[in-house]
Amino acid sequence: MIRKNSPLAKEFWEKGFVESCPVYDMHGHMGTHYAIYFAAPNAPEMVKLIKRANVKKLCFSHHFSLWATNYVGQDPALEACKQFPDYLRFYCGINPNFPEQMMADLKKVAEWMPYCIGLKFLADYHKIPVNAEPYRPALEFANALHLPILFHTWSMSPYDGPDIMKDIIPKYPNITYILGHCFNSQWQVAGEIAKQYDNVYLELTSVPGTRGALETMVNICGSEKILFGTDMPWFDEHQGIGGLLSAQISDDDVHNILHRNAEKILAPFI
Amino acid sequence: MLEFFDANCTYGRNKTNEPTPFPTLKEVIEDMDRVGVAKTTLWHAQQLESGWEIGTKIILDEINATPGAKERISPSWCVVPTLTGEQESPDKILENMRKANAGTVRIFPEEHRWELYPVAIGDLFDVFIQNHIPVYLPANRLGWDRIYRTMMLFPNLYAIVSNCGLWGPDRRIRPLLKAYKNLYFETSEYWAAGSIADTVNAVGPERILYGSGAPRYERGAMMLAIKHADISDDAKKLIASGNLERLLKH
Repeated sequence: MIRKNSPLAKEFWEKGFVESCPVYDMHGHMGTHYAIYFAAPNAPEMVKLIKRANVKKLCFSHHFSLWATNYVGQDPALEACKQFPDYLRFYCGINPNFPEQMMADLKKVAEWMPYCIGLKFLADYHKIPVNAEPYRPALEFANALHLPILFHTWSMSPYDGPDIMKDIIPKYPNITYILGHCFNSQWQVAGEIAKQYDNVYLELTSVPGTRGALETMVNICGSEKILFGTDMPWFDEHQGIGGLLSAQISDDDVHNILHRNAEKILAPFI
Repeated sequence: MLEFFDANCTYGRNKTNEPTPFPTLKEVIEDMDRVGVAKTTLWHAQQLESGWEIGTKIILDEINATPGAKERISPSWCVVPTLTGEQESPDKILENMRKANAGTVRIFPEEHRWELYPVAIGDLFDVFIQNHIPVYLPANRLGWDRIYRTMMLFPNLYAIVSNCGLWGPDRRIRPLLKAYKNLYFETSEYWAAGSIADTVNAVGPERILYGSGAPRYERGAMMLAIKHADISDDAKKLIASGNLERLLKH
């Protein structure tokens, strides 16, 4: 039953969802992908799946906005949100290799709200460090509007690793930093950065299920600084929740991670 | 009641004494009890690092010395080609496996420096095929090309493809499932949204095995994914434990 003596785990186990513990998935994607077959790549089937776990909001960036930025832009994401406004919000995918497209998209972010909740940076794939000049207009924009940015972050990355992020966080203090993947495998460093800055959150995509990672970060920065995410459709909501419930943290921590922290961040967009 | 039989678990200290949650069998069993896993197949880090002889002896000795372990732990045997004479004959290996209640086989051709071809391992694999004994083919160690080649060379092999990788492996695993009727795969890295139900709809539930990848991964993650996959209760039972129980009965 995963976690003994836990009413929360018992209910998730029996029903697959808990009414009093909704889920906010802060890191999703959408659309087909060059390297992976997805059973549920598009909005209708994704929404069907997230409902099973009582996911109230899935915040995603569309694959096409990140890989085919200048051809497709944000239209597929916006359309999906309009189709399922109760369940979907999107991050504007930023690819600074196409600065004209980036600037055009930034100009529209305000009109896309509340469907658009912020920006998504995928620096490891776009091969530009987030503290380099091409990202500056997007950072200044988000800082001016007090927006969240979901960063893909990875261990030792020269594009979005801990040293790079520590360089930009103090420079743009109004951004809500959501550090996707928690610098995968550098759990201690991730916890320390989240503890140091009030506006930095760790986001768990690909982490739940990895033994010991959650406990390390919760012990350092507290569950109040951690957000749930799955990379949906990359990973299954129940796999992530199962991993979270397997970690040796409290039910109160699980509530913080699955919904309380996200509810605060998303309040202006719901 | 859904009973879980873990098809992918390892334990034991390696030569550099890296910290591990499962240094001994005691911790393996405590973790099974913590999350509610009934049984597991198991291999020891020393089967890889010190080789087939001492590695397999360590795991068997620990099972014999640990109360309740025999009923819940199915040890994997480790083999190398028999032509050097360092190991027993294929028939003797089979006899020893049966005495030890070892139901599966682990191979490390890269690290143990042998080749996965009939001239090297054919005599052993013939015995395993005749006796329905599954051999693990871990994608993270062998690579998919070697798995495909192995199945072409041994099309009747009872194989468990493990450690498939977190980037959804369906484009690689589905052709194997279609082509080879004795091939199974385990779920420790099969995390993609809705993938279990999708594969069950495509090929049926009979060749999917619950695997945790412990200790690297928590056992409960894929337990909850299987429990709430959009498939029938009978299919869940097969994936959770029924398929592996059936596979190990021979």
